[in-house]
Amino acid sequence: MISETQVTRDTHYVKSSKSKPISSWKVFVATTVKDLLIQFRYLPNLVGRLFELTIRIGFFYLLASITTYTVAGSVLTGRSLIVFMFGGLLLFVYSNTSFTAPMNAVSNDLHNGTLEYLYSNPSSRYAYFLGNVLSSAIVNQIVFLPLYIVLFFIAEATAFNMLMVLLVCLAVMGVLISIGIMIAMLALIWRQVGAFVQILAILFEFVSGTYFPLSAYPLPLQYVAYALPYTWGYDLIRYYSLQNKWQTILPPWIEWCILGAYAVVFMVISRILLVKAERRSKKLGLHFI
Amino acid sequence: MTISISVKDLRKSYGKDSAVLKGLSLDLYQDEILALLGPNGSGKTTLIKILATLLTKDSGKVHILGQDLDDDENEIRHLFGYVGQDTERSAYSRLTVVENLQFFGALRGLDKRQVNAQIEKLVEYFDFKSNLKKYFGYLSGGQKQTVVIMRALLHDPAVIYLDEPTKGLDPLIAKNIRSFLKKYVKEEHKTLLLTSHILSEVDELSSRVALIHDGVIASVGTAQELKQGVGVDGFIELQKHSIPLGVVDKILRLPPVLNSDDQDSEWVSFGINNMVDAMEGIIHILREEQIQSQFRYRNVSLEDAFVYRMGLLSDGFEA
Ligand SMILES: Nc1ncnc2c1ncn2[C@@H]1O[C@H](COP(=O)(O)OP(=O)(O)OP(=O)(O)O)[C@@H](O)[C@H]1O
Ligand SMILES: [Mg+2]
Repeated sequence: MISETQVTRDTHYVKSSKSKPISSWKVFVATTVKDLLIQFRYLPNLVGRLFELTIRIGFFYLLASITTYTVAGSVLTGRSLIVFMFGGLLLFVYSNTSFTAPMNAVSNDLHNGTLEYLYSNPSSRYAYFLGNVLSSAIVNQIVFLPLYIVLFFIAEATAFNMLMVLLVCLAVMGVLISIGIMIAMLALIWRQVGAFVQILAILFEFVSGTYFPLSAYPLPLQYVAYALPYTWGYDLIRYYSLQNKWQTILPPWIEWCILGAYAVVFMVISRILLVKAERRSKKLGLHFI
Repeated sequence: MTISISVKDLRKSYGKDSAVLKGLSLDLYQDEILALLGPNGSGKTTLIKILATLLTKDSGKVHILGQDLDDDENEIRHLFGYVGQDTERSAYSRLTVVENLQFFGALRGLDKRQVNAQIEKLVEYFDFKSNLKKYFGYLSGGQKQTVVIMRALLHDPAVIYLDEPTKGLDPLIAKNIRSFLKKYVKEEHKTLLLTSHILSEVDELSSRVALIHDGVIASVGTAQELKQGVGVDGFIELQKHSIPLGVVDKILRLPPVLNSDDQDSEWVSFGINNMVDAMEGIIHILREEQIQSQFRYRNVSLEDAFVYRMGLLSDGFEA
């Protein structure tokens, strides 16, 4: 829009620019596609990451087949312990979506000056970061889907329950993507968040009960676990896949609410951080790492 | 003439450091190429980044094509194209040049057809057709810079900011890009703000030159005006090793010879204001002293003007 200004009286500007507003959705799709393409072109890296996940799954499969967990009166062993482990791994598959992927994306973009260019651009930043995070979630389907199918068969769960498992995964993913953007923004503000992110990732992996039931942990750790969104995702997945063999921490509907609340909270935090990070960078300059 | 960019009393400091821009004011007109000159660290990049919405100013008013920078940054972002000073790696290594341009075009609401049409137009000038299918990461430094310049022009922006655009480009490509920019700005009524330390380039390209010093614009004018500011018509230069000091003094006493400069290791340079008289006088002295020396005449270059002006400024004289 040309506004009347006090700058000149004869405002016949030639604004031939072809640049026009673009919906966040389109930015999101374009970024996701771009990042998928890039991930598949760094093939050794991708294969390595997926291979690492596979080894992890194999290891816990072995562990499950030789141990027994006693949880709140009931005994998990053999097949049900495998279901327990796979239920945990089903979500763990996505941990790089929320931690390393966004951090690396921001570090690279910052280092190469791509971010500076993007910030001179009118398109949605949130959609851009979202696309970068989602693409790694999509890539992880390569491990997730087989794991999910195997779980389906060994758990002998009903179709309804397996659908519920899928919904839990989607809900947790919603939270993780927001956490991912949050971490990307922290990387933008603090530059060096590597160590912090490592700690957070370990907390998420070991404290929220990926491999061991929460009740086996000392009480303080259990309280820490309650603060982590993964915890409730795991608990629900186990509730649906182990059925009567699993006692949830809280009634399932409350756990659903907690997950929903986390999704909202992290989305809000990540949005606030997005604005804060941009404002801060524009004060000090998006200088390179 | 239409003012397309107006900057008034712009101030900026980074954190607690002392201010970089201290009340800078500058107007740019449509159809013009304005070159911003100034020593390293004088704030050229800072100014461009503020105009490109990458840095917030502390105070001052900026209007770009009538839009107030304080009102709607996103509106303004549609209007300009930007090449940063250190952005030659700022595309994705594992995407081809075309894929990169298509992605960045998409972020501006351009579809593939529009992007391809624009690429078609640009590659000819930039002699880049053979590189379009290569991964960006595999290009040479200058080729990357070329892509970054093409990216800035992709959406046919009305205003273009180029921070040392021809850095790292070979002379031929640099020349082609210059001639493209010149034509583009003139025929399509654009406004181009650029910085460069290659003063011959600035001389060839720019409609006006602005000198930035101590956080303000110390002078603006055409390159010609800036050169006239040096106060000499040209320089006569003699080989240093063949001219004894006494002879330098003697030459300096000639009326048309205004000053001398012996910074250069090979040549002593005399600033003159009347070429024929000065030549006559100098040749006379050389004959008298029986000196054999190479002798050359040089016009005032933009570099002379820049060095002269900066010398005055740092000695505390008003421009
Ligand atoms: N992000 C930043 N944080 C702190 N100081 C900065 C930052 N960017 C630039 N500066 C300082 O601001 C001053 C101006 O820098 P700027 O990059 O604008 O100079 P310039 O005129 O572009 O120099 P050059 O010709 O070397 O490119 C310098 O003293 C520099 O150290
Ligand atoms: Mg600079």
